[in-house]
Amino acid sequence: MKNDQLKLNISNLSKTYSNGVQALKNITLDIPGGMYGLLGPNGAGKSTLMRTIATLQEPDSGNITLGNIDVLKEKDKVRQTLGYLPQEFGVYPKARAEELLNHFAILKGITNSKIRKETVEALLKQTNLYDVRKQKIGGFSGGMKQRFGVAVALLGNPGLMIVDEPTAGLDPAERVRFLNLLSELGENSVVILSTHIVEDVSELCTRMAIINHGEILQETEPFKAIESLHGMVWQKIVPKSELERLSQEHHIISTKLLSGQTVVKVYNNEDPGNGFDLVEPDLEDVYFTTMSSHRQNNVKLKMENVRS
Amino acid sequence: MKLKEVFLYELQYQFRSITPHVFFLVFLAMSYLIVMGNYVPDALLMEHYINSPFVIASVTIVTTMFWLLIGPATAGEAATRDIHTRMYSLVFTSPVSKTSYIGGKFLAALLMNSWILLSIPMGIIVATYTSGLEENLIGPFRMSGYLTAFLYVAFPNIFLATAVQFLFSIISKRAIASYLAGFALYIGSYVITFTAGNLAISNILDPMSYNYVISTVQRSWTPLDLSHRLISLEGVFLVNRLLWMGIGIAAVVVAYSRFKFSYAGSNNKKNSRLRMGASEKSRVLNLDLGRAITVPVGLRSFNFKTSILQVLAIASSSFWDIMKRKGGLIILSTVALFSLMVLYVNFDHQDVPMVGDTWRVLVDLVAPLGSVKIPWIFIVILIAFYAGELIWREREARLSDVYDATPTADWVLFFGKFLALAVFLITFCTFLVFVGISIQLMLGNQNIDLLLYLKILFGVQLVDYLVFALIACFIHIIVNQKYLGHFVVLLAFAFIAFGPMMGIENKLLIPGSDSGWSYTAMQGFSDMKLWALYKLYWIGWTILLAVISRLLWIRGRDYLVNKRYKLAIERISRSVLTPTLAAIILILVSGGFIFYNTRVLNTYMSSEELKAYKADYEKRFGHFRNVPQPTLLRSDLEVDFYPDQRKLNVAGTYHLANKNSVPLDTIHLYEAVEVSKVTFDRTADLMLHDQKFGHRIYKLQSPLQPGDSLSIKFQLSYRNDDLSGKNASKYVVDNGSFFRNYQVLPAIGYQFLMELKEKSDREAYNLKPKPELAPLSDKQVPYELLMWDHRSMVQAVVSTDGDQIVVGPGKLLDSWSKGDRQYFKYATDAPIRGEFSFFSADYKVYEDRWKNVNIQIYHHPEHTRNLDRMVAGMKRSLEYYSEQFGAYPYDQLRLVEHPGKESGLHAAPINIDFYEGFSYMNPEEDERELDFVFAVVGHDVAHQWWGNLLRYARVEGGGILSESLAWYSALKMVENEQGKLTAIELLKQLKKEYDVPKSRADVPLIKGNGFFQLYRQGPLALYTISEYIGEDHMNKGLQNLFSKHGNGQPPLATSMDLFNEIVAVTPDSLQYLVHDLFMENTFWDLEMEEAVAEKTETGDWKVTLKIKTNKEVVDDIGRIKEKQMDDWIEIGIYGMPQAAESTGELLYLNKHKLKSGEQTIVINVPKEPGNAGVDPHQLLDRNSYDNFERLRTNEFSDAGVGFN
Repeated sequence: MKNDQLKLNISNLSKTYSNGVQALKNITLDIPGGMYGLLGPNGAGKSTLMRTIATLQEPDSGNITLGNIDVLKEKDKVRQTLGYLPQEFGVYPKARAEELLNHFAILKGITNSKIRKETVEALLKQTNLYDVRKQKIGGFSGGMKQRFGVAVALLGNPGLMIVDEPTAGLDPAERVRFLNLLSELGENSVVILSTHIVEDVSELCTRMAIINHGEILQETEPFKAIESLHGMVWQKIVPKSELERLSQEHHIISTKLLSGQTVVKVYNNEDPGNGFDLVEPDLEDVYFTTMSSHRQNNVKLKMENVRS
Repeated sequence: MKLKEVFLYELQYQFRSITPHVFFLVFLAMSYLIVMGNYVPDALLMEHYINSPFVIASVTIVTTMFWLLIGPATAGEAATRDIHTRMYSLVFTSPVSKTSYIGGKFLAALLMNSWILLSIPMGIIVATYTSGLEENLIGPFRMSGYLTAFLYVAFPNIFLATAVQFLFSIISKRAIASYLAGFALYIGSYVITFTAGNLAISNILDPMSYNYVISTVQRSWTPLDLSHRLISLEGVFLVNRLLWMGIGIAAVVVAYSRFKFSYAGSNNKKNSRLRMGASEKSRVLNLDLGRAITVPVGLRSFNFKTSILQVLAIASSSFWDIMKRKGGLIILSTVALFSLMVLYVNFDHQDVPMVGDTWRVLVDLVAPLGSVKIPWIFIVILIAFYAGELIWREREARLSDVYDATPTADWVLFFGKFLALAVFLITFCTFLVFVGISIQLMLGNQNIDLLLYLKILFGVQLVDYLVFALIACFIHIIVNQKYLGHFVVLLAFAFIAFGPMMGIENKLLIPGSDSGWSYTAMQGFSDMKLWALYKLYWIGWTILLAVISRLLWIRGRDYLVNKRYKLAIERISRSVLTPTLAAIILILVSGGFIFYNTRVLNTYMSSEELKAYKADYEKRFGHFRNVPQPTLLRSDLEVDFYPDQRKLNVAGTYHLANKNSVPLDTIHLYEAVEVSKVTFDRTADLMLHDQKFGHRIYKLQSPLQPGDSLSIKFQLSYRNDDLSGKNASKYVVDNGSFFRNYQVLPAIGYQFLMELKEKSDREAYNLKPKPELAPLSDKQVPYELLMWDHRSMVQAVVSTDGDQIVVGPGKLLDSWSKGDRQYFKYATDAPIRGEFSFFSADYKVYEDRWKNVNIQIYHHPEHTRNLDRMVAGMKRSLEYYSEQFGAYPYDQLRLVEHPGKESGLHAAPINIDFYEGFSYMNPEEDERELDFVFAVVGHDVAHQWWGNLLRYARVEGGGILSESLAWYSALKMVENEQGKLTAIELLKQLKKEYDVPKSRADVPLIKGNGFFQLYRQGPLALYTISEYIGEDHMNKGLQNLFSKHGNGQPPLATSMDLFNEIVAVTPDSLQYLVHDLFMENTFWDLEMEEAVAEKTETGDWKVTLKIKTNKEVVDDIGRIKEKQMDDWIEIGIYGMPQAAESTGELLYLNKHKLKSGEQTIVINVPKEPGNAGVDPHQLLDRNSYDNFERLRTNEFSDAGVGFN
């Protein structure tokens, strides 16, 4: 299957759990080849969406297609081209890295034992686990285990790669190495990366969506999104006591602590004055702007509802 | 945190999870079922109240044993949850002391387990009041009964088990280790019961006190006790409880000292170093970005071959997980070693070693599915357990998301796991091959038939358990809750094991079951065709279950029933429909075929149906019981065996005569097997032909006058179908066909032996109440003879296939062959009591002679080991009995072998038949001075006199005239032939039954019934009398009895006749003894308290003995009455023992008159005495340990002498 054919289309996907939580609300997304970032806070519905694409969960309604595969019906076909790294996973504690990877290689259909051996070896090298291949995975650190998960996901050159919060719990160096691995993959397959860390997306993804409370808030290209905020993000260092007042006067994007003082960023079409400086927007500003404006919209909406 | 908080937190946590509640219900259900299944029937027989303290204690212990295997999760969880939920980093760093932590966790687990097992009393209460029993069978509600059972039986076990389970889990840091602990205690309890020779010791060492409660108490309590007595902490039970509570406390202390507030993986040091090293390297390598590592591309295939490879990969991974990580290898080896030990130790018959031929060993190694026999009950539990572990493996490792997203078909995942279980079972069967071969080698048998091992263990046994393994997987998938799944699997097993007892007798309804099969040396495999059909039927079901399992297989995160259902519907495809269709066809075809063969062709009757049938027979024809019928004088028979066709043809003529004082005109004919043609030698009208009961009534045109004779001709054809099941009677087989006359030939008269005997049955079917045996005082019954009870002549021409030989009653007059058939003509030379059989098999004949009697053993050609002993037994017996009791009236005496693993003999007139198992007794290897084969043959030859020539009436105590006299005769014959010492060994063997704890309550011997009284108490009492009054007197009495009643004419003899003859030859001074032994249930307790020796001036020794005596009479419900003694008791004095075990040379043996209570006796002996004994041969005091005393010598009283 050629790369340009392989596109993931999600339409009107909804899912409500039996405890009443609505995890996905009528989600529609078109995901082309390359790295795609799914950004959102914890509990936004990312993992539900990822699991649904990974054939592990049934939506209440909606459709997903991968190229010409109906993901919800032709699960076997999806699995044949799927690499999935869940947010949280365990291993057989007593199994050794090489042995378990070989086991997954068989499950992934690499039947030729010579090729399987080469593949396992290459992936262990690629994920830098080759030196510990004879060790029990139960004793691995979080990062090593995560890399092992990537090796499993990479088995068989998947056309669709789903990685759910892969960098949580990794130390900075491990994170860098991990993202490098992913970027290589993005060259010839669909890679969906869900994360709540903005840098993951800004460093890797050509397209992204921001998701919260089961809804897509924005679907864009990181570069364009940053561009659209150009000249609209203003920053000022204020004492903590002023925050309350500022929040009533301005559309605050984010507040950060810097050496004990509060750095406030606000969104404004024009100079708000009052000692605000114009700053170059980054993806974090996009994320927070989207999240906060959505929140405000919601507030407005609710107030309107009350009035009417 | 304080201990209290840890405790409360743990308790709350467990209470919120579902597991303890599932357990509670499980054990509630289990105790309920045990009461309903086991104790309600006992209560119906009026053995005891349904809710007596004894029943409560028994149900408690049995349920507790199951709890050991199923319930260790509670303790294991409490001990390790913080580790496997990774809470340890929070908990272990909080300010909680080790004492509080361990103490709180342990106490919480203890309380939780106690709560769970409180379900037992609740289950019993529910069962008691919903059992539907009449009020008089339910005792008053006694809180003390429940409290004592819980506090003395359950709680100490809970404490010990929780402590040991806790300890195991703490040490291994794994919850699953608690199951190992529970299993160890379970096995331990069994091993000790099996191995400790001494009952008291085993009752102390048994960690669970299982055997004490379930066996010792039941056997030693009287019926009154069983209904009323509370179990109390006393004797060995108290010692046991204290010992094991102490060990429980020790286990907690060890757990405390082994526990550390740290956790770093399972093998900590190595891993932490490794982790550091690894992460450092990754930092270095980070600099080397963009390094190209090429991963081979593509080359994946998704076809059937891939699936097979995947199945094998999953199976191998799962199998090794079971074997290594989940303790499978250790447990299987333990079970195998345990089986080896138990089977080897028990590989005997009546303590005589057996010959370890392959099939004989295999008989002990295999068990049908549903058997609770060792070792297979463990395998059932392991299957339940490991099926759950495998089905839950990925989810518990939190690897299921990754696993489920791989391109493997659902059936691959399921089948891979099932295959792992299959390999597990194959491994166990392989172990059993080694167990069997080891037993054979240990028994010195080199004759190992490896092929037979493979055929039986892998061809038969494995199939059953594979079916069960699949059922277990299926249940775990459906239930989708691990512990609940275990429970449902065990429930399914309970249904398989106990379903038939609960009235579900149709094997098509009991999963995995079949109608049985067998293998013996003579017969080879039998009933295998039907077995295979049943297996096809169950394989059909397993395919169906496998398909459903595949459809409902949990994949991904959707656990809800409706989602699973929806997914299952989506998964339906052609690859599902084809096997489903195939399975359904297989089920219908094989099931239908089985049904047709077992239920339609064969008039199969369940035990309930059979009872109803018998009740109806009695209601319909019972009033003909006393209608006078003609007596059989002679039968002329033509019998044709067709072993190949499983067919038998019989044509015969009965020559009868009216021996009544009145004319008769009605003949009742009962067809044991459907008769095709009946002709009378005169005009007789068939008035009634009831096909259901096979009862015909003929009316003679002119009545048969007293003394007149009549002949009836009949013809019948019998065929046993190969597919009729193991329990259907099969008289014709390939090799070893045989039938008894009453099983096949028609009989004259109403067959009152068909009547229901048990009181509850008679009540249930509204029949007139009647005692199981008529009372001894009944004057009518001794005159009631069935047709075959009369002596008659038999003449028969029997034919069979060319390569076989026939044995029939009487003398072989002629034999010839015609075509490919062999003909044999047999005829009796004197009338025989009418039980006779015909045998056809490929026999070898071993011959000898005693006077004019031709002695023959017809045996399987391979079974030659004991022929000399058997012949010797026959000859010596003929000699002794004909001299002592009366002449043997026939010219032949034979032993005839027939197929079957059992070891029993059956003495018909002239021909004594025996099962093959008897040929496997190996007295050569017996360490005792005892030839048990010789003795048993002596017993059965004695039946020619006692039982055949002298027939007893069907009243209480009748069996004494047969079994007790036969054993007494054999004892005396052995004593005369082989000496007193051998006779004493034989007596010891018979007395062993007295070591088994049993209630003293019983009817007096003269009304004796049942194995113990007929085969043990009776012979020993007769032997004691002969020792007191002398063998000559005793045998004179028996000779008188035989000469008066040995003619077979009514009235038949009773135990009162025997008593009277013995009384007649007993001097007045010993009349009391005969009375005590026969008329009352008497117990002597004789104790040698002290024995002192003193050298006299004349050079001999003066021995002063202090003796304590007591005599009690116990009635049939356990009331005890003390009797004043003025009895003759033997006193023996022995010299200094030469060897450690011997008693020393006999210096003095005489009877002294002893009174109740303490007394002193002085005796002079010529040599230095060593031991003194009261009743040294245990003629009266049967189970005594205090009869002997080492003599203390006055001169050396300060030295280390006087040990007891």
